[in-house]
Amino acid sequence: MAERETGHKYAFFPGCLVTTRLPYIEAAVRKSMRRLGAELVDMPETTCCPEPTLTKALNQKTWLAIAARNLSIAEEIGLDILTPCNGCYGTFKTVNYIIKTNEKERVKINDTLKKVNREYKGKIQVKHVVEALYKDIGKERIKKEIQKPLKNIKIAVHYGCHLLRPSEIIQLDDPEQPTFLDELVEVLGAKSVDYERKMMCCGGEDLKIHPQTAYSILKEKLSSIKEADPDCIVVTCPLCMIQLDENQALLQRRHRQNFNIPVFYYSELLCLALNINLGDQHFKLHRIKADEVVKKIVKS
Amino acid sequence: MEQGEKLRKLKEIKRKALICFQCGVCVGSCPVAFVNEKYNPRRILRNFLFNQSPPQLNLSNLPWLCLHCYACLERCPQNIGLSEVMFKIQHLQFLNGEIPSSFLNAVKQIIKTGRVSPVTPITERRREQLNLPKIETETGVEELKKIIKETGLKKLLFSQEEEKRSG
Repeated sequence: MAERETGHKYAFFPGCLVTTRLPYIEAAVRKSMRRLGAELVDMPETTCCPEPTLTKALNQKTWLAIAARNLSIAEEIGLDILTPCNGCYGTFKTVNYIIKTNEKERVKINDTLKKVNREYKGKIQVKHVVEALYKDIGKERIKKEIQKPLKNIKIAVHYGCHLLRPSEIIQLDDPEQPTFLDELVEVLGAKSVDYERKMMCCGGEDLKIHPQTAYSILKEKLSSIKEADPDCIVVTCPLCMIQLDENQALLQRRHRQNFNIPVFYYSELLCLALNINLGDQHFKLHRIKADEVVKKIVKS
Repeated sequence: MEQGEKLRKLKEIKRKALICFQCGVCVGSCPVAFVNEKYNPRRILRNFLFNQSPPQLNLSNLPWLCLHCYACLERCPQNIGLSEVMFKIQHLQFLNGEIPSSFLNAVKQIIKTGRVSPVTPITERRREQLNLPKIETETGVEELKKIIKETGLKKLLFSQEEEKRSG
């Protein structure tokens, strides 16, 4: 199918977790972006962004150089970098900010990159998938393309930390009371419902060090969401997806916590609203059964 | 690493964080403190600033529990950026060998494969089901390894293993 003209083109960086553990997110992102006229160019030479909490703690210099190397590949292609992961987004936004505002650091980072015959000048921008949808493609365009509005669907929005904070660097929306993702959800015809722990972290980062803490945070988050009685949760990050979907299922199995709230990555709901067929296998990859919500939307 | 270098890094953190007046807004904003009473970022910072000196930090694993969610950083009236300070405390702990093995293993996974999560047969089957492009062999890994070496991380990781073996 021919691309529709809008001219949006990005260097696509799915990130480790999406590529290896949750490829269904990648499928939904690719299909919905194509439908909305955006072209994604693959970047096979890239590596882990790198992960924002590990490498940075061990050696900041390494973290900066690996991230700058990935950014330099997008710059070489001549496109802004696009990622569906809040973690990659946080790393790239921060390193890009440092390179664009700190001449001394830029020189130091490029001294390292020289050893692998690369250079990053700081000419490109870093974009999250939902940011590109909101700012580049726009709500109006999305609205025009909707074939199956998400009528009578109540959604609990979870932004995730690194989509918004540190706000001084990210500068996407208010770090305490954001609205843009709620707007994107409502453009699809759904209703965004408020809940007390909306801005609370999913806790996913503690899975590798102290799972009990990660599960306790998750329980708190899900209890608060349950009170708002939504049809589903929407996320913009694979780690939040793993935590809210896969580990919600784990809590139910191990601790008989019966939340039973399906979780979607934003682009999956977008695909449903645009009447894009994701295939029979797609939603089977979710741990909390999503069939009922999907049926409700498809039948509308 | 030389003690002098560690001391310099410690002083740098203190210079930045000594203006903390212990108001506790970080504790009220912290999701970890909310569910785990042992973890109190205000107390961790105080103990670090006033009671600790290298070479032994003896901070236990607590600082590694920080999620780096930046909730405290947004609200700190002194603009200390506690989440960033926590990174530096973690770094000093790493230099002292006080690092959880799960962290080390994850970093080693990145260095070895270029990814934080491995490509498994399940990954490949799922990608095929979803009509996604095949994962190409990681051409970036060699450059990544070179960067790890150039920036000194390889040496730090190596000297830790040496210490563990001898100690």
